Amino acid sequence: MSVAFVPVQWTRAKWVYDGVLLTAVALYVGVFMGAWSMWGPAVDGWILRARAFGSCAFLLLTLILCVGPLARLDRRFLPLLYNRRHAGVICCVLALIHADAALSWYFAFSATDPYAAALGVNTNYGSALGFPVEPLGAFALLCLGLLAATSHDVWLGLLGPPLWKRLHLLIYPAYAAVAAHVMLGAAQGETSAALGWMAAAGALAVAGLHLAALRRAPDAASGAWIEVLEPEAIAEGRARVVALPGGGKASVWRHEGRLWGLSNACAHQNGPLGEGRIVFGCVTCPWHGFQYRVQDGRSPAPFTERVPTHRLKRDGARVLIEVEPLAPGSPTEGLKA
Amino acid sequence: MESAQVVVAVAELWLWAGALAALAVLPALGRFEPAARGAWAFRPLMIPGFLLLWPLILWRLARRGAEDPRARHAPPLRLQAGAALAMAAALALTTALALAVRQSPPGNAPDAAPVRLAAPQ
Repeated sequence: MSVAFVPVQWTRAKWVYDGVLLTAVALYVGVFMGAWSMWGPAVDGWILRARAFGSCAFLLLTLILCVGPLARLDRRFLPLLYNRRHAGVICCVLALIHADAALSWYFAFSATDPYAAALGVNTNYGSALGFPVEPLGAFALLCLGLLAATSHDVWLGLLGPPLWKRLHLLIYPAYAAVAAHVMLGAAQGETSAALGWMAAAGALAVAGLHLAALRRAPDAASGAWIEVLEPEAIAEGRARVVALPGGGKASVWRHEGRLWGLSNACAHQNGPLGEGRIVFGCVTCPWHGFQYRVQDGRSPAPFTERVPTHRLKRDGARVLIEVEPLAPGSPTEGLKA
Repeated sequence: MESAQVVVAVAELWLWAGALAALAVLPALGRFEPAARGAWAFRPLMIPGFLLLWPLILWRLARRGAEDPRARHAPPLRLQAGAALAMAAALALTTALALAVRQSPPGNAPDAAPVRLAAPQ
């Protein structure tokens, strides 16, 4: 929400978030390497580094993917969603360290280029046992790199939000590839089945939470105006998300005795506005804190972002919302609650 | 192995082309993005993105202003739901496959007591 781009828009909350995250990562890697050195089978330092950073990256990516549906199912997880992109960048760095350690060990004395050797040394694609997991890891690393490299807000303007949003859906195939990389790779070679079970538990948690969040999404009605269910149950400063015909969503807000209709997609990264709340009279996106006035969908000066608004009307005791949005930043009168 | 070497060689060329695109576009970024005018510190952060996505960036710059402004406020919710469903299915399949093909290592077999080998004569 800056008027001029800076490398990172630091806030106190971001310092705390990143501080906690980096401390947790350092603790995990330190404890993993220390415990393995004392009680695990003897392995070379490169292998130990590959395992410590690789498992940390998988765990962090699992948590990142769980946070989205968890926040949708329970608002108490929303603070974890804030600044999630820094967690994604840290995850990419951990995966890079893992890849570097694995290449440095397995292909240190390779006559061919180590990258080519990693991609071409195993071509057993016809069997799940001994499946070549290196290309899966390389694909996931490429996806994580793309997402981290385009995480700055300038990319939203350069690529445009629709393309940027579609590009960032790569997180789903990336996670599927990482899970296969672990479960068909390292987990098959371990004497103990514990790593396989832990990876399976993480993968199934991600899958289950996404399915639960999808099931909870509201069904769309049809018509030019559709009913807002139970408007009296909307708390002050909060919203109800309304599914629109065609797949879009709107949000209906209660603020100072009136109901207001806004798009549910933040102009920044299309975050779910209706899952946020009103702070200082402005709808505040739960993802990165972008703000819009309920009356006209405009960010307060000096910011210039706008979201579409929706008209509301009464039909007897029912409250209806117009499906077709008004142009971004159009004022509305709201509706007496 | 030869096809892997071709992939790596193409990737190197791709990255070099991205470096050239970054050199050409980054200094003039303010012409395309108002919030970048007079702001320089963030631009090095964009180099990895240019290395990876340069054709997409050049294509976007070439058709600036041609996009539908309403698309900005219409996130691809159905595509996202489809991608999440496909991921969940792939994870379930991978988990079942990985657990099914896992072989019991010799160390887990009940009769796998260590055997002391005699030194060669």
